[in-house]
Amino acid sequence: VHQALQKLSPELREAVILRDLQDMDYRDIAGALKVPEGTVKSRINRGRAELARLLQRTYRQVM
Amino acid sequence: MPGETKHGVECSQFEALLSEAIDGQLSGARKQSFEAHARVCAVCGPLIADALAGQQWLKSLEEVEPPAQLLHNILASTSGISSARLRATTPERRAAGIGERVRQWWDSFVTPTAAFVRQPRFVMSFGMVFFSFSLILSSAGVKPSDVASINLRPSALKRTYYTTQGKVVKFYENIRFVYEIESRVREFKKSTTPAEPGPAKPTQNRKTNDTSGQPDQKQERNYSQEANQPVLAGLPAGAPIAPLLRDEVEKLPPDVTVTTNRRFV
Repeated sequence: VHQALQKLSPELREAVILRDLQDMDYRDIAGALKVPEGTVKSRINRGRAELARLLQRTYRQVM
Repeated sequence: MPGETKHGVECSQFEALLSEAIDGQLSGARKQSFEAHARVCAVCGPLIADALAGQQWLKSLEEVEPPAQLLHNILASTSGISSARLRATTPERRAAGIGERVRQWWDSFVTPTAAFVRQPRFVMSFGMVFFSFSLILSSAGVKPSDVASINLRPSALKRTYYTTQGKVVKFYENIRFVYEIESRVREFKKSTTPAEPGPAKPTQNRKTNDTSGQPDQKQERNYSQEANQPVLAGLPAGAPIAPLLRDEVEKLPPDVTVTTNRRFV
């Protein structure tokens, strides 16, 4: 998971980490990253999906 | 397809609602239209599964304790303070000695402040402050050599005080504006004095040369006349006459002209 997080783009990675690992709400993340709240939600969704695809690809390669 | 509307929800709106759906905050008609769009749209449908899977992966991570020196290492790499000095301020290394406390205070307060001040972005600010001070001092006439030669003895300070006070008073009194105002006031006083009624004092008690403070009186003496020139004297009509002289006066014609060679003094 750490390696997959490192492969994410910085924008998606910081949004995902702040939401799912630091448990911050969307408004605080938007304030910390200085972007609109809608952008934060979009980045979180895309980051989660990208992380899942990367992990699935890795899982297939290992199997 | 992005921007395509299916069941009342566009793909861009679906992405915005996805976070709320994963957090379980979506309900009612919005939830129904969201789920309907996810069933129909080929792009947005797999997105829910991927996002949920990614969230589960992240939630499965165990929380680890950060290293003790993590904060110091971050500060050392970002602020430029040496990590050895930062390590000296850690709680387990504190000592009870006064010298050690002073050194800790110095390391915890002065050193970071000095490192903060030494940043290149403040160079121009300090330069401007120095330039401003030097400009103010030079315009005020202060020279570094004057500052070095200041005598701080009490008598010298007292003498300096009185000398400066005398200069200020002299300067004030010499100001042209003050001088003009004073001269205007003097002229005004001079012009208003004749209008005031003076005291009715007998003039024979006064010295004839002393005319100060009095308006210019009409000169009745004719200085241009010669010593042997006859002077005409007349008695004005209605003038008061002594009772003993009244009979003599009535014998005379009404207008009497007296010719004399004596000079009136």
